[in-house]
Amino acid sequence: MEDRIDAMERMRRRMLAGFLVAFVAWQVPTIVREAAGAWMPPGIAGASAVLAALAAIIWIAYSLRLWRLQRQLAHEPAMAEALDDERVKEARSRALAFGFWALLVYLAMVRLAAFLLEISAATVAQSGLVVAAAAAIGAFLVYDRG
Amino acid sequence: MASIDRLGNRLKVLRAERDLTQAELARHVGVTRKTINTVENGVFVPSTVLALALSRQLGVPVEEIFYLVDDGSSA
Repeated sequence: MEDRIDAMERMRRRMLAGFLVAFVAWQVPTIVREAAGAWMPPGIAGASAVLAALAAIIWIAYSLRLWRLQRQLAHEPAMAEALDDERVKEARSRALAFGFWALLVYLAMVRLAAFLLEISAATVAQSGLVVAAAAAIGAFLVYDRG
Repeated sequence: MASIDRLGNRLKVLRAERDLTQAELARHVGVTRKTINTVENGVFVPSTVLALALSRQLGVPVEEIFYLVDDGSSA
């Protein structure tokens, strides 16, 4: 059982790391392409679209694996409880707080940049979501290292 | 009055005296091995509930496991 808990914990970390990398690799080229619009050369726009599509497929695969892990844990309450113990809960709380502050700092920077550039509301909203989610997940992986 | 700096513990010694691995102790108290490891290393401060669970599992009063470490300064 203890080996399984360790193995499951490592697997969860790997899944979250893969989920994060795929999410960023999907979202960043998409946001840049949309923000740049006609300024981006067609070749680069096409390459970034392909990269984003591949990353989106990988992200969906990681999402499904995480969902399957959650379902598996629903049938093993002792394992689920151990994998969500008080250290993990604290790491999650700290990670969410980090994500919140990262979002505030990002929005302040965007506000300053908006004096010089024209930035659409859709770009700000989408990039803000990416910053908050990526910062929170990344921070959780750091805090959960132990 | 001395200011309290951090929480010290003798968890590693008490666990070794009972021939328990971190994973075994973790299973008995319902946490991950990493949590026991971080408590032993002073990285994570356990809740009262976990401290009492460890105390019960090891069969010693909680103050034999955990103690306050002051920084030596006085006000």
